[in-house]
Amino acid sequence: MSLSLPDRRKAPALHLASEIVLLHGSEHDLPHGSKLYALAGGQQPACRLDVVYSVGQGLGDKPLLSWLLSQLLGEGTRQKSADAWHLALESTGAYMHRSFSGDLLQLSFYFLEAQCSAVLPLIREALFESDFPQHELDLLVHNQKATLAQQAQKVAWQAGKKAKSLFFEGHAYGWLLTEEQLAPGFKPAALKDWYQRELLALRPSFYFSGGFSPDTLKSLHASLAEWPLGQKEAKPLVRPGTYKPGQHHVAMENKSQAALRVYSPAPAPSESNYAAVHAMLTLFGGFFGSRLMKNIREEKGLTYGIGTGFAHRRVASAWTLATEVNRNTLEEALLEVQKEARKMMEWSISEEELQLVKNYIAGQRARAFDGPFLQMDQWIWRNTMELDATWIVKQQGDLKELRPEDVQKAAQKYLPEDQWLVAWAG
Amino acid sequence: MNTSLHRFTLANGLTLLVQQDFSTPMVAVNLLYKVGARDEQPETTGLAHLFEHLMFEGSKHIPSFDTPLQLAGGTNNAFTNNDITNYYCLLPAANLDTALWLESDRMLSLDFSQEKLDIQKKVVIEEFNQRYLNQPYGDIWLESRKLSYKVHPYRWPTIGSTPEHVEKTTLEEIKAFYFSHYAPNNAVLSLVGPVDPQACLKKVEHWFGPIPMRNLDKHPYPKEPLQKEPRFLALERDVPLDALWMGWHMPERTHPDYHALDLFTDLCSAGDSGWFNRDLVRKDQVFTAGGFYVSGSHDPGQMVFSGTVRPEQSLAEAEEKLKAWLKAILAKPIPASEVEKALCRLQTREAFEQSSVQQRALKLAWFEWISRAEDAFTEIERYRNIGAEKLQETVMRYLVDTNCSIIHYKAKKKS
Repeated sequence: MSLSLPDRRKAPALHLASEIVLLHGSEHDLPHGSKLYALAGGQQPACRLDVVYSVGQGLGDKPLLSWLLSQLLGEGTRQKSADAWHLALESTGAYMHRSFSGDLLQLSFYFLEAQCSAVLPLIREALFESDFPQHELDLLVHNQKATLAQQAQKVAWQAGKKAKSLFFEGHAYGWLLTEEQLAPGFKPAALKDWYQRELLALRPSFYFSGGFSPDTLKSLHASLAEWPLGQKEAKPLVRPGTYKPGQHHVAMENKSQAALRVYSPAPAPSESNYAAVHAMLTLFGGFFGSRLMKNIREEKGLTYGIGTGFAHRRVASAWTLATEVNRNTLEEALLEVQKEARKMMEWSISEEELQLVKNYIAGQRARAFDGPFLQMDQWIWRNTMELDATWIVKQQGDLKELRPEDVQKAAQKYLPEDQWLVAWAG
Repeated sequence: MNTSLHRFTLANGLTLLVQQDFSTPMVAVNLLYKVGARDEQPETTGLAHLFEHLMFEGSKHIPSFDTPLQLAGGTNNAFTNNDITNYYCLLPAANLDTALWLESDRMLSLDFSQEKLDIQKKVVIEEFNQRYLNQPYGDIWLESRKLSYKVHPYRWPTIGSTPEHVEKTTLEEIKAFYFSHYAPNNAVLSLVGPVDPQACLKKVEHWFGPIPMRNLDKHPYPKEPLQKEPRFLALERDVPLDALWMGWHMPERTHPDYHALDLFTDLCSAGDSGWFNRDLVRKDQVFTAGGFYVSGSHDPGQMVFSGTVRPEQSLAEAEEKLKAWLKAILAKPIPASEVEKALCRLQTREAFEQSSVQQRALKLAWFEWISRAEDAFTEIERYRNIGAEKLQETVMRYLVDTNCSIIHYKAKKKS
């Protein structure tokens, strides 16, 4: 084959990032108002069932008990020891993941479609027949304390803990599990009571995604309809109170690096200026080509990485910044962050920079919706944030229409330093 | 499983693999270079990884790698290990040309500069701190290599033996490294997504075809001599709990024994019903956490255990209990039901892995390098063919004291 030399100075023609290809999802009613959301897609017979309780750290205002529940479901049931339950689940090839976040208690089960009927009774047992043996409770408390003792030695963990707890002070969103809370002597009775009164009474949601046939979905729906689902709606959350901006230091000896965290208010995804703030925050520190990465990593070599992002909760939103730097250059790094924020507020961005960030976000969205599992993650998030199905379409439209002055306005509203809660550890 | 595969070899030696997948609008572009930390010299370690950073600092005709890719709606990253340096992009398939343009230009030549090198050295030193030196237990991964390997280049970690090695790297060393390792005849390019194989070949010929073959600096790696006696290292650090690390030499990724040893570590550590968790964390409560894994490296590697010890146990007791436990489980036949459980789990994991075009592209390139890409499709069969008896026999051959290195990582007493 004869080869013509390519013109390497000229970039290939660009095609705008594909529109998001949404899979066709379906919603199914279950007893007492619970819902089953289903999304079929992909080439593999791999399925994920997410069981979601809208409780998170707010369940009955007892975050510690809620967290313990989230970790102990299935760790011993009325029928099986914890070992026997895990063995039964994993003998099908399935595995599970637990998460406990600001708003949700979520159990995710991963399995092959052919194993669906074997896995479902085990999930049911974990959800409705957990028994909380003293042995499992003691073991969890002991080993979690060991993990936390290790975390407590990390500058990143300490700075993050300080910033989050102060930003959401007095609210369940500011709660963090600590060693001190895990004093020995927990009794299963309190946990069992909490489980019966709060979790079992609550209405869960089910999200089923992956490569499955209509028959599998039908049989899942029929099974779930037989489960003793609770009917209580989650208690509405109150908004966190006002935080105090300022700077806080966690002293840690013998650390070569310091960690820096910033929390500052951000709009909820439902607000009209969200697309502008998203673009502004992405340009500020949200991707490799961001201004902070360019300045602090690529021009000055002060850090391995620096990034900004949103921390959304159902009734509160923040933008956050995170980095680790040499302890001797912390002040310089913080000054540069402040300088970049001021530039964002004082100077309008160029059309080229705006186009870059628009394209990047469009591509990021296309990737975030690539396949049934990622689309289901988006669906869970949307339901948690109480956004409807048109939200993403509106965001795409708003992004296309953005002008440099919209981004500058967003910076002027959300980037002023006097709003920042800064914490550093080291 | 999608087992379609198209393989092409360009005249300059570049291997191209294409797998079609029309369930996604995205294409994964994975470029594997057959160079890693094992290609470094003992006095200039960390070079391969530092070099990976420089690959993003502009090439001969393109000042920024990231900007054009971000304009194309793509994302990218890279990693270096002891064997390979791997670069990957994920972007809308319509913009495949952009990724090929960028990757081919940085294969052709880089825009080398002392200033860029100096900045990236600082970045890598911060990475060294962040990942290893400023983390509890972080240096165990540096120390364990020195203890386990005496001759083979696996004795130093990818990040480098020390930050000083990174600091003293010169521009000349960087250039020499590039021109002796970065070449079409030392790379595998894999593309997975909604693409046409012939059209891909045409595009790849266009962008990569004119890049000349290079003389590669290939030399035999020193063979690690057989370990004949146990090795031991005691360290004391400011950490909350004592930790135990043990490593046994094992064969390379393509050796027939590899799969048995890998399956054994799954039986011990995968999931909540893994034997180690069941027996030594939950039942006997010797450790708070821990597990086994294999390195899966190109050259003979290691089977590793690491775990944090409960405060009421001494490190010596924990080590003895772990050894006694291993002896006991290997003294009786491994139940077929347990082997079946591990195989089922592997099958599920494989199905989820296959759902990601990016992971598939990496896997195809990796297998093409170590054996042939098609082996990725039959991997599960190799695990299935082991059988409980062979599994037990194989593991027993490697889990012997004379083949073992041990680190007691002691928590410094607080004054």
